[in-house]
Amino acid sequence: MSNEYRLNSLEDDEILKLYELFFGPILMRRETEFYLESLKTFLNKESSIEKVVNKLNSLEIEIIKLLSQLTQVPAIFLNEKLSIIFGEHPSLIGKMIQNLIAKNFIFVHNEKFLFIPELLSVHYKKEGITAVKIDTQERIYDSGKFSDVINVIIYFLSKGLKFSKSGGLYKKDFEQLSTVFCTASGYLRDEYDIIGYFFSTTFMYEEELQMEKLQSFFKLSQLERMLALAEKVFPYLKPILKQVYENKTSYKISKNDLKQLFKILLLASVLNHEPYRADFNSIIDFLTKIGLCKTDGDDVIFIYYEESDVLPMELKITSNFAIYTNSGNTDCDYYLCALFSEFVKYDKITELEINDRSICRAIQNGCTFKQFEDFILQHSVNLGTNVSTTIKEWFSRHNSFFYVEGTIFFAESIEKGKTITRLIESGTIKAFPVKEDAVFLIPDEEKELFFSFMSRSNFTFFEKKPRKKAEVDLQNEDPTEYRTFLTFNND
Amino acid sequence: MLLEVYNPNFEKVRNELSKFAELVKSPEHIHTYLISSISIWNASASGVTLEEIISTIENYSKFDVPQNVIENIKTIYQRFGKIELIKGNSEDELLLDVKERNIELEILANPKLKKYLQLKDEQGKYRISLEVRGDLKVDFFNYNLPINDIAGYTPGQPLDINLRETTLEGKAFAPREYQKLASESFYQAGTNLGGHGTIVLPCGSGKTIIGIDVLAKVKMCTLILATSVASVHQWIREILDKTTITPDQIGEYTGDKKEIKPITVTTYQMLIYRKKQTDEFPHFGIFQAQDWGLIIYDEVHLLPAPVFKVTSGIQSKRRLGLTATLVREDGHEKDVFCLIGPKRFDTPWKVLEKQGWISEALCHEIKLPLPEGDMIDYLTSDQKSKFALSSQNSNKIEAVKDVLLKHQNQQVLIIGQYIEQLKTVAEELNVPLITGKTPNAEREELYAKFRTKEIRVLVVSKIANFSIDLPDASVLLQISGTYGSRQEEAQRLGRILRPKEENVSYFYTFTTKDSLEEDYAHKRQRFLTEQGYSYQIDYWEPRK
Repeated sequence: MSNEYRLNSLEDDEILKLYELFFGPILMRRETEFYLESLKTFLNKESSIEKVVNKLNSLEIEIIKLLSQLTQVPAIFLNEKLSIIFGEHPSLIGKMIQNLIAKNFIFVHNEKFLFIPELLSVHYKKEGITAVKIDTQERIYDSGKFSDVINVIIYFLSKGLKFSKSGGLYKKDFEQLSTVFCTASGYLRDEYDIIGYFFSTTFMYEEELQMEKLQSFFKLSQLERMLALAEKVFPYLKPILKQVYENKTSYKISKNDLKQLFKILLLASVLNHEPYRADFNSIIDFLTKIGLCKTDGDDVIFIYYEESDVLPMELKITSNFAIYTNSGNTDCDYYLCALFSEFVKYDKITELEINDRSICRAIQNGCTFKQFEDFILQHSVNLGTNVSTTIKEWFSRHNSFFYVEGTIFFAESIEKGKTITRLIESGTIKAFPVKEDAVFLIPDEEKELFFSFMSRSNFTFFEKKPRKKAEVDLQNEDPTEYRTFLTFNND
Repeated sequence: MLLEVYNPNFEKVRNELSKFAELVKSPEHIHTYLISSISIWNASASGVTLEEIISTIENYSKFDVPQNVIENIKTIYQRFGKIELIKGNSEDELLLDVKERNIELEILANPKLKKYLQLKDEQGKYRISLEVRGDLKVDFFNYNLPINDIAGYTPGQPLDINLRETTLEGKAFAPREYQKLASESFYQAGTNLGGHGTIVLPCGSGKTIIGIDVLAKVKMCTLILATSVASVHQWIREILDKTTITPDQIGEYTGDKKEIKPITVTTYQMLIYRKKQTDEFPHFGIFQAQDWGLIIYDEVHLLPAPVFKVTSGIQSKRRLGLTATLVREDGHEKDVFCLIGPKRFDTPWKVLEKQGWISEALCHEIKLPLPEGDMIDYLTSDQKSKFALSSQNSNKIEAVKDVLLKHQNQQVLIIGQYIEQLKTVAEELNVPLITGKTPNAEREELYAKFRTKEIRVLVVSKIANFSIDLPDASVLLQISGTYGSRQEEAQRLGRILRPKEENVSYFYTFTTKDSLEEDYAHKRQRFLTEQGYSYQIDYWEPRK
């Protein structure tokens, strides 16, 4: 059935290619239906398939065996996914995939999905994986389990860290982080990288902090935050967690089965980011630390929790610009502390420090003194006069100048300029007025939208290039001399 | 360790913690304590038991104490007392008693420490030359091997000295409770457990009195090292005023006079003076000039490196360090611990303020703009010139005048870094100026007039940072300073902390707005803000 379905999904030319793979070159072309039927019959004979498949190298065979278990696989990040499963470099995997495509074992449709004729999956397919409902002692999620993770996120925020392309921490940053966290948290280097991956893929876009996403995440309960992290970093967990939380029950599953399931779910998942590289055991260890699951001999139990209570933030700001707060708080405003300050110490109490640098960073992230004031007011913090005044000054100092890279757009008449102003005011286009109703600055990131709108709306405009200096000089030269020069050349 | 200030147990716990932990900062809300090897060994040396330390931590901790913390404390505590420096078989040697074989092996395996274990006396005991007593302690400390130095001291020349109950000025006198506690924690009833160490107390809290009380307890000929000639005179004046010592028993060893008396007071500058850098220090001989029984290091955080070296050679003398801040900008805190001795007494500034022993201080930072004409010069200057330009902002003079109007009936001290700026201020205000070049006699005369309120405003250079006794100064205007020096800020505040009738003092610091000076001012204020002081920030604008 499965083979039939898969073969029916192939294009005519793909059916011919597949036919040639197993039966050799087609000398006389017949109806596609003939080739299709032949394949349907042939592909059910394992020995025939194996004869052809065995010409591939061992890794290629392993890849095709694995891919065959799925009807279709998202092409995006396939190399990286297989690299995680087989522990080989993605570029090597890439070559293998290209080879399999070239040899017509795999077909690509719309560069998005690979359609895999079911070659060996029948033979290698395991029996169905079962998860057993189980009653666990845990009821309420112990928010303390996740507070280390939240504080590492707070640390990243407060330091304005940049991450590697794969989302990991740079060595220097890890060394600094470990001096703050290692004695107080039980996480290992790879696990800090997991949090780094989550942070960079969730809250950062092109090295810019996505404030709305940050806010949304901190509005979640501690349990929801934990689940959000797990689903983001390990998207293949989603179907399992969906089962657990829809059925409101814990599930037990054997480690071996789970490992198989992880592979299939990893391949099947559609990712927006390169998947996080971690082996199965490391993933289980991390998930156990955050309390999402626990191991029981050869089994893994995914635990169903109910929500825990919100633990409000107790905030103290001293006259030496230090912030003290209870580390385990689950307050939705906790991240705001980090936006205005720098992380200093971590244990049961977190110590942060507001300084010139941290305020500068806050401004770059789009924060204002008003937001800081509101935050202080909201949490009934008594600030020393020196603290509030100095912070206000820092805001004023670092907010004095800013620049935007862009294109200057001129309107030749005030009347035309007013139209542009109205469009800006209505939010239709984005530009800064440089001179009222006359000159506008279009930021680089808005340039495409701006001009496409103008074209669609039948505005006519042209690009006025500044005249080059050489041309200007030529005009200013004495024409007699110019002619002399030409005459000389002609000679 | 963090201690909640508003907790009902605060006072009780603070007293317990101070026995084995160092107070790092004490702003409002939360105080920070640090348990370090030094603090644990200090506790062990003062007889605090391991059980006391652990039970204090466990009983008062808000959260469960991590087991590794307890284990570390135990390990560190137990390391103290395993090596002792005791009296030797003869006068010119000591015995290093290593009480555990594995520690002995650890020392023998270390090439830098092995050299001290050359002359074995008996099992675990090694003969040590007197000269290496200081170096030995520093070197062993560097390898986490604290030495309990109970070899005692050379007796020194006895001196008949007692405290007066009524001062020469006719006022009743007795050291305050905390001063007695401080001197006793140093003296340790005269046993070998005491006799060396450092007392840390705020400026204006009477550290000189503690020195005098120790003098009266030790009753030996004493050498006092101070930071300036003015400070030397202050010591002499105070000792004569508050003890039974007569003028012929106390001498000044400075550029003006070279007296060696049973109590001799000199300056660090005098000791490290030499004509050429390659010459010997000619005045180091003062350490051997008398059979000193006690050496007092005033403002020990300023002790120059060569004096550390000579101190290393006089470990058989009792040594008392006095300071307001153990913060050393050069990071020599460890040398203070090893060569002068561990911290024996410390009390938060705000506690003494609350008890009324030092004056309440209201700190203001007045920010003012740079004159428009100087702005371009400032922006185009290098960092050093930028700091100098902003520090010497001419608008400060007008701002100073305005502040003086607020304090018309009070004694005001104006202090700064740049002599030219100070001269201008003195001329503009028509008040006297004291700099390093002012002859001592003239200085004394001006100080005397200031004390009697004949002079109300005095402009002083940085020579006044330390130990000038100006009992009635209640307002201090700081118009410039040494970059981001935290201890200078603390010392300057200390000039006005002595208790007074109203018991409120005013500390104004003038900074140029939006300049490099503002950043340095923020750094300078750090120590004081960590002690709980808060600066009121005011803005001054020139009149149009």
